[in-house]
Amino acid sequence: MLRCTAMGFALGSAVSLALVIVSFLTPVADKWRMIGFFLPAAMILCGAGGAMYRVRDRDAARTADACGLQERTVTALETLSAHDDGIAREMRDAQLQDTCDALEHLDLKKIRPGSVRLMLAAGLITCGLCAASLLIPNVRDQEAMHDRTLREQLSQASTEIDAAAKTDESAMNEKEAAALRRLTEELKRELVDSRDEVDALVAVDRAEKRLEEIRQTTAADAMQALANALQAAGLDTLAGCLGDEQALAEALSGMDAETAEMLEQVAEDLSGAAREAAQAMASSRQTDQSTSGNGQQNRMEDAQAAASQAVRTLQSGSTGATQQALQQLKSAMNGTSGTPDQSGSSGQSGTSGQSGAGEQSGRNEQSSGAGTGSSNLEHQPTSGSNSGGKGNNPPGYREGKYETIYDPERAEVLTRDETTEQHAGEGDSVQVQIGEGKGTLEGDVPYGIVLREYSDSQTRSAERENLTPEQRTWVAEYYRLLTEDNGQ
Amino acid sequence: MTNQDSVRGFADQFETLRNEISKEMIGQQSVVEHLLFAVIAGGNVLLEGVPGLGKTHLVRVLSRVLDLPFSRIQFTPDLMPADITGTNILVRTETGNSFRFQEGPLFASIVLADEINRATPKTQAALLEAMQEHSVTVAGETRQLPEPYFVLATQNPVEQEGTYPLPEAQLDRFMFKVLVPFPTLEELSGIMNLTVGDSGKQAARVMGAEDLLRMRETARQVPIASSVQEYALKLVLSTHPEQPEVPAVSRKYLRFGASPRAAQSILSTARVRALTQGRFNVSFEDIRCVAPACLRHRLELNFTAVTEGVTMEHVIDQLLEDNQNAH
Repeated sequence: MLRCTAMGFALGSAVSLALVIVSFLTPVADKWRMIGFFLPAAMILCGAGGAMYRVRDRDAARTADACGLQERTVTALETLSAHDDGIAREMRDAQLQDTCDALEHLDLKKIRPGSVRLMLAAGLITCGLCAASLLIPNVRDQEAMHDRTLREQLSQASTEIDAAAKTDESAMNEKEAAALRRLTEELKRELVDSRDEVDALVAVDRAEKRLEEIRQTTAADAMQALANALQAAGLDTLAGCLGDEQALAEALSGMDAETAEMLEQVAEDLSGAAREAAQAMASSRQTDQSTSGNGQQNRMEDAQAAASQAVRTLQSGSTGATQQALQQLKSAMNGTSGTPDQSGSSGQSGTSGQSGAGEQSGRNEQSSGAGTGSSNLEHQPTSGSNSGGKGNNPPGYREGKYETIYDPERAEVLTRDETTEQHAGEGDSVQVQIGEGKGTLEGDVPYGIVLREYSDSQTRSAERENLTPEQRTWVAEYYRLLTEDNGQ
Repeated sequence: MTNQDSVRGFADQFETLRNEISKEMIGQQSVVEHLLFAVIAGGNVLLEGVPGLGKTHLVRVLSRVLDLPFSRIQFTPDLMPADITGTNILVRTETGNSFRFQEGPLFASIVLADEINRATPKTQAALLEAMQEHSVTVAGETRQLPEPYFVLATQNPVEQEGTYPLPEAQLDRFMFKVLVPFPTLEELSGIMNLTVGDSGKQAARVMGAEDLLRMRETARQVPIASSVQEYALKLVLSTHPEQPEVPAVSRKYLRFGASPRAAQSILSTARVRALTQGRFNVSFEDIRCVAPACLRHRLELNFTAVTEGVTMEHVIDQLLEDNQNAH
């Protein structure tokens, strides 16, 4: 049993060491937990097996003889069943008795646990090697840890999105609520299946698109509901101005107290965005009612503000909470990936000569709705290190989903010679490739978001870099065509 | 003597024999021990040593202690076979002349063949039947030799001129070849006191032929484990360089290996040794103790060994070690 336990220890240690070595090649989640479970389990199982194993008589005899019995036991075992007469029988009896006497006086400490010590030593050495591996930086371990963190993050985000969607559903009709539920369920599934932040961001972008459709639907419904309610209350003028902020502001500026009361009543009968818009419109009455110039101006300003808020509320629809939850998840993913605002410059054609130096400034200009941006880079490329094209990627770079979009390989290559000012007269020209790229603009890739960031940052880079006017024109033309093709 | 006495008293009997012989033989304990092993096992012994070490005296003492008829044959180049086997002689009787067989010196229980390598091969061959069959055939008539029967031969390793090396067939008939070493200073001093001074000690009879035969019969009953027997057999096989998977030392230094008689000799004498150690089974240690004496005259070194100065003892030691490691 001791020997088997030692064997289990050696075996468990060997497997642990193999696992540690594998963890340097591929991420292994919960590596140390597995080792902590497997090692004692191997010892217990082998020890139990050893305890149940019936030692063969011959093996036991050999072990006893090795302790100085000089083959007495083995010989006695072999002659046990012999049937002899005369001197042979006497000899056999004497031999058996001699063996029993020797076994009775056998010192068990003489039994050499050589193989046990050897296996224990082997096990200890491999355990030491496993422990020593902690001193070696393991990139795969970091990946595994990152993956675990991501899983936890996505799980928590799924819960938050679920709660936010439930909040929004309460202000929607049945059809809209069902659509929102479908959206959230699908998003949760996609988040579970996500391999990394990029996949998660793609899923979120896809959900945002669909959420936008739902928002538009709920916004239209809210506007219609408010218009119907206003018309039913006899406030046709206001009902007709709902789509025009200016006209609504003018109508509200001249609103009397009775109309304001009616608006409040209308608001009470509504729910969601329609109710909030009606309340905003009603609140515009509570201003200085003097007919002086300042009073009129104040009323106009209040009416403008109320109209703006009402219009905004109607347009936002009933998806505010879900939208916010998605934005939070997006921010979290961008923060986890470490490079929130980098364009996918690694897929550029090498002819543009762009470096990544100018890309940093794009981080601050997100108000146009480009969002926080998505990146297919894991690490920040250093300035000038990314000269575009495949094969020049920085260390640690991992190809993402967007790579195929910006593949410089062209399906139908056309070339055009451009003679720059510096080369004019020398007969030199730069040959540029034009034509459609290989990538597809369809599918679930947030092309619109990425392209806007891409275009902005590259254009700013072109302005800062020491380019000739012709080159700048070429860059601007390139992106103009790109954005035109995308209908932006 | 009962069977139980034979079995359990064996070691004591052996010790008595050894002690009695030691009264007249100073030192040479290993020689005496091996000689007794072979005698009890029923084998012949070849004693090799320089002159004056007491080889002949040892055999005489043995015969006295065992109370067995003893004859000594001094082999010379002119010794004829009939001189040792005996011959028919013409005798005058009352009825007339007739032939009578005159027994030769072979007709004894213990035959000391001194300087056997001096005799011609023809005379040496005359010993073969006696050593193996314990019989002598003269003029077509076979005569049995008395039991127990031993041939204890001696040879001088120094004087090789005018000698006839024993053929392998005859060497194989000897159970043991025992090397008689030169005594140490203490032993030499004891020998002087015994032989030159007035010590007065003389070995007396301890047992007779029947006792010796009983001891032989008892020794034959000692059980041997299959693994021990296999060890002995593998040892003999490992002396054959042409066999597969033999140790490198065999392949490199031996010309030919030992016969199955070597295995018989090893097992018989190991049984005797086991009993003398107070055990009733053969052990690996017994095999390792008797194997050198059984093998050294049955193997032959090749030219490589001779040129490299490798001795037979070295080869046998290496074979024992290799077989032990393999076991």
